[in-house]
Amino acid sequence: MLIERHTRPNGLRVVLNEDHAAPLVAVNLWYHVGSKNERPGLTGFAHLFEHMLFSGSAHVGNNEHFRHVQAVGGTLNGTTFFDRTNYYETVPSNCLELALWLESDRMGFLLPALTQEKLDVQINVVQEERRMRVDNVPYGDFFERLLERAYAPSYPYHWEVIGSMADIAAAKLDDVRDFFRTWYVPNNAVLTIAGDFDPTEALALVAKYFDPIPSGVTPPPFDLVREPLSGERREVIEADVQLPRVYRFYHAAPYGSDEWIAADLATSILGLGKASRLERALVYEQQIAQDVASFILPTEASGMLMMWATAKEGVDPAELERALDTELYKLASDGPTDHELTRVRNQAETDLAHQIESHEHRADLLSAFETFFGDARLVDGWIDRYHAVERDDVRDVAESCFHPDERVTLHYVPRIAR
Amino acid sequence: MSDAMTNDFRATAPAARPPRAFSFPAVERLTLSNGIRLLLAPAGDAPLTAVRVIVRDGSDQDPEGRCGLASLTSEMLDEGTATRGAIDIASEVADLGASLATGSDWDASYVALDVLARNLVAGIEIVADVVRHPAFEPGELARVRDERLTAILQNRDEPSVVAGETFARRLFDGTPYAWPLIGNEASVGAVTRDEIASFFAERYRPGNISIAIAGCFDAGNAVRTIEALLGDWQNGPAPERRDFSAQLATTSTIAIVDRPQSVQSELRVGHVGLDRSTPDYFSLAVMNGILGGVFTSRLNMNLREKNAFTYHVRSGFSLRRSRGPFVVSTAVRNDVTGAALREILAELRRIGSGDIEPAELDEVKSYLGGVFPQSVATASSLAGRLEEMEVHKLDPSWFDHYRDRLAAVTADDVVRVAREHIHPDRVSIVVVGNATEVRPQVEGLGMDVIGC
Repeated sequence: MLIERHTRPNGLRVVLNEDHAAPLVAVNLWYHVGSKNERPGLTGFAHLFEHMLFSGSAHVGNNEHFRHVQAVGGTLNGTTFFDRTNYYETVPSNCLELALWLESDRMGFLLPALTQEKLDVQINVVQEERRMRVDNVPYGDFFERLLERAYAPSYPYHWEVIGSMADIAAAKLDDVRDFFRTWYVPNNAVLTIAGDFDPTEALALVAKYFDPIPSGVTPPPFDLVREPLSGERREVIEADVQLPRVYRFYHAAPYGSDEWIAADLATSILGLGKASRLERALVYEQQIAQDVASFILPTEASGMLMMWATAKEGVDPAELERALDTELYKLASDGPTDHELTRVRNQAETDLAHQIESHEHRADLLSAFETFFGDARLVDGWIDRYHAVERDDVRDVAESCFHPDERVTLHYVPRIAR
Repeated sequence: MSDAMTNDFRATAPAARPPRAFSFPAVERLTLSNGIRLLLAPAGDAPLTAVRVIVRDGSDQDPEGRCGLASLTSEMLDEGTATRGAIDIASEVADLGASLATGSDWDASYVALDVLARNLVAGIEIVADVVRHPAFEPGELARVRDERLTAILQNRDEPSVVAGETFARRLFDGTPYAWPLIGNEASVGAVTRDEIASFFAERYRPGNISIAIAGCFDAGNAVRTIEALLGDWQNGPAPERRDFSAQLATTSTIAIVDRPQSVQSELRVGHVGLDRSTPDYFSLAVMNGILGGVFTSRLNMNLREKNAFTYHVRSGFSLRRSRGPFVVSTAVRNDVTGAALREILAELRRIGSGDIEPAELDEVKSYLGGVFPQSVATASSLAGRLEEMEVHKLDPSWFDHYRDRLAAVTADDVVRVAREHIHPDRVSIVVVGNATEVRPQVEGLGMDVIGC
């Protein structure tokens, strides 16, 4: 992959990835700030703030960002996660300058366009988003409950990205201003351009639109240390669901570490596809589960490894949990077979190839690697690290990760009719 | 320098450069002697290939009392063949780092393989086996049936599924579109192995099958592989195909499905729409884009950005072989349910009233045309377009003229299709929500309110 890296005088890091297969270009901007940088009482703020970045800046009217990109046949969005917020558009390659104009305007000139009315609208919209994703769907609050038990209240992975209803409602314009000045500075951002463009021209456009934006104060480092649980946390939740479901959370190593990669392979061995261990044992052979899932999230400060299994009608969640644990301990004691390891490495390779195939996802991956690991070029060696994982590495990571004292377990059970 | 001088160049959007030419990838078509049609579109430079087998019969051919038959038949394809068990198939697919999916929609049944280009031949071998030699083994069927019944049970928890299924029943009573695609407790409980095997034998035959391949591959090699695996599959007689056409309601009604724990009302507003062969295809796409098809549509700007009733609202025509639904879908908090419905109905009236702004027309036309190259940029998305051509028997040049035909749509076209195809006084409204809170809000809409 052709990857050029530059750092602008104001600290903005720029990643250029040229490829001319289609007349498209993806522009992707990562700000190294997420819900991890919130504090209790202002949960959900990073995400609410993301909404405000579509509400106009000094030279771009409210919702005009959407209009400009759609009017040239582009797609766009923004997302917020624990450690980062991203903004992206994929446009016909002749419209690269438009995308850079739009992104630079909200990086440099957001505050003059900010109003209480716009904030009020987005507070309501985000509350509807929370109702839609969390409060009005079965098992919708599982992640919130897991995080609350997995992390101490002072540690910001304690709350979910969407935040609490009360905190969302309490957001003030001054909070928006402070957040912007603290985190939305060029020296806390990575700009990736991927697709059909000329690197020299693109860099000149980046200089034109982004170089005048002044550098900010170096954002405060994240230096909180997660405390061990030293004892399992368990909860039984009566909910409006037809079937019981068991959730399990384990602490894992941070994204990018060798242990994280080994844990990623372990979760695939356990739960990726019908031939994986949990699917095969719980869904196919014992037929006590309707479905299972097992995955690790790409979080920066500390890894989050999760699994769940939905019980078939009449199956006791305790039985389901025992069957789950049997498989986990088998992997932790014996490790995977060579065959399993080869299979999940191949699956990881295909997965990466699909991400790279799409302009949008490739640009996002490059921004991620530049932001988290300091060098987008590490994408090129990423899959080799999967191929370097040995059976013992997977066994070791399973053994250390699946520790009974360092886990959270939830049982959802159908509410008993009164 | 003053700020104004520094930032002069920011005052207006920069002009686009001349666009680079785009043309829809060339598609090679050929037909094997037994009638299997091949569509081959080598494209892109990613090391990935997408294979799609299209069987031109789907869930709209489910017999009365057996809804879910087409879908179950397709789901059983990769649950074992004459020579491979269910786990063998899953295992081999995973070894290739590939993904294999089977399923059906209203118009067709599908097998989809996404695979690293270097493993394509081995992938096609598995695809050919599952599409030609499924075993429908009774033990595997019993398990799949039980999973299906459990999925139907789980769907009761999902307000969006309950809303969709209730809406379909309201619109399409007496036709297959009224039935859940995955079936219901009675039909899935009753369906037999023989019925599945018969559906397979009648519908999955070479003359009814197309195979589309897109992405990175050698066309000659792919054709030889398919010919060797499927070339001697004997074609059979074409089965009878049921035709039907639902009719518009004469008045508007509201159905409320009580879900006391709801903190949002899941809403569906719409009526019987059009089929895929409509000559108004492009005008309809532009009109719907303005109404509720894009982020900046009238419905989203009104319900989300002005009134903040919802996170998201959209409208769309589901263009199937027969007339599918036109539907506005959203979820709004309980206390604005009535107000949101009033705004939706007002937008349905306004779009036919004639005041189309040139800017909104241009934006939607440019968007739909401009986004097209992006929508065929990956192997799987390109394969999806080939699939669409086969299912709906589109002219081979359909996508070559796609952007020109969008560009030709005028404001008059938009108003005309809105007047002809949007019927604000003949809608079915479905609300899944807290009936105690919602009912008083909707009683003033002047429609019959039906409890479900």
